[in-house]
Amino acid sequence: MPRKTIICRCEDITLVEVEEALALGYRDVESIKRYLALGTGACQGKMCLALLARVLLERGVAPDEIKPMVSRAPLAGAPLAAFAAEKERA
Amino acid sequence: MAGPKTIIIGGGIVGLSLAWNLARRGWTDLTVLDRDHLNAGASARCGGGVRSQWSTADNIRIMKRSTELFASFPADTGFNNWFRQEGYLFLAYTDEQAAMFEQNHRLQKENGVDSELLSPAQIKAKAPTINTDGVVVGAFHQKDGVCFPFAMVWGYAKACRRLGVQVLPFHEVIGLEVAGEKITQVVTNRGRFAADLVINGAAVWSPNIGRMCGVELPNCAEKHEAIVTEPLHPFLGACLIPMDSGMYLAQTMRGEIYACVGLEKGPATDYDHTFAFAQKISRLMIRLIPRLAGVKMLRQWGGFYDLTPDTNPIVGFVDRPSNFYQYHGLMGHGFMFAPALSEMIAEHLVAGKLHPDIAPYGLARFKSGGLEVEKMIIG
Repeated sequence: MPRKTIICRCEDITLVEVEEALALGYRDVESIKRYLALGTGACQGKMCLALLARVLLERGVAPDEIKPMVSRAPLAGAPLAAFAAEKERA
Repeated sequence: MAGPKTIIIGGGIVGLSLAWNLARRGWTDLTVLDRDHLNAGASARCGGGVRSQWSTADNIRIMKRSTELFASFPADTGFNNWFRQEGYLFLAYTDEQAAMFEQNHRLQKENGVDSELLSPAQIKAKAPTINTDGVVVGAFHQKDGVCFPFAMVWGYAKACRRLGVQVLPFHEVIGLEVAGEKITQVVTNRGRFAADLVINGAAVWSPNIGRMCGVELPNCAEKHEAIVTEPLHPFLGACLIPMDSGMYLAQTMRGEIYACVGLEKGPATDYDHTFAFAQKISRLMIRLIPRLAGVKMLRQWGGFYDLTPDTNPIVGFVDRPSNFYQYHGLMGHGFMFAPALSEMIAEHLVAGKLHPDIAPYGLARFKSGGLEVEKMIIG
């Protein structure tokens, strides 16, 4: 992959930046996410996680050490009005 | 002289900012242990707010200093913390809240904080998008602001390592070995560390650490939740706190809106996100800024406030073991207090100078009923 390959489109993170994070010793997905803000944009990791996993594998991280970032609600972005309009719970 | 062999338990902003302050003063035989990756705990889950608008004189003074340190952080550490000083705007809806704002405002002025009280018309002029129905008065301080939490942790970690501090994530403390009056060894899942001095900076997990050497701590973990929206064009300068709900809401440098509000009081054992929270916060956000109705929520998450019985931190040595220093109980505002508190604590440890603003924070105070209660704890 060319060094300027975009890994995370939402946050404009390139391969070079992922390699810099690796060089600093951050080899797990959660650390890299927090160091680069990779996966924190509009897609919440849906687009970039597979690419990051591939880069980590290619750089020698063991497959069982590559865990996906924690998935949280909502599953997909939804307007605040949709959450607010729910009836009060008893 | 590299100082005593010091082990700091907890690699959040508390542990790392203290390590950096100690290392700068010549104590470089330092190891910071964290059980998880960096930015896993409260320092990364918080909103990143930084304000001097408090209701007790010591909190006002400490935060005045901390705000200066947030502003100089990029120059001090070489790491951009994205600190944006566009103020905190509190909104009062009752005469009682308005009276508290006036009292706080006087105390803030006396302590060198240039806050101001705003009429509803002035609030509307400052933040045209917000609904001011029912607002009696606002309290504003321009130098308050919002910072990117991850960057503070990375910045301190980087600056620490540059000074020779060992910062070790994925090292979980599983035991403390005591010989006579002192802790001699800190045992982790990845090996043992000899220690002359041990600092407990593990926030809501501090009581677990204390119990490893027979120290009982009164901290209570209270769950708080937050959400973040898709990024928007910058339109909101100040961090908003409507006092009818206690919500806080701000726009980050990246354009997202994040908001938090309390849901359940009392001790919690998890910080899982809940639908009840998503509903409550969405309603409050739309009521305050109606145009947010169509904005998408991207993510919700939870974290812990590290509460103490009298709303004040626990800082200082305990009687036994004599080399065990406490630094926790920061009430959900540890992120903003840590830079200034760590500076004072480093002076205490290295130079033996106990700053009068932290002197009352020893654990022993709970035997005599505790301290003055802070009224401006939000979220």
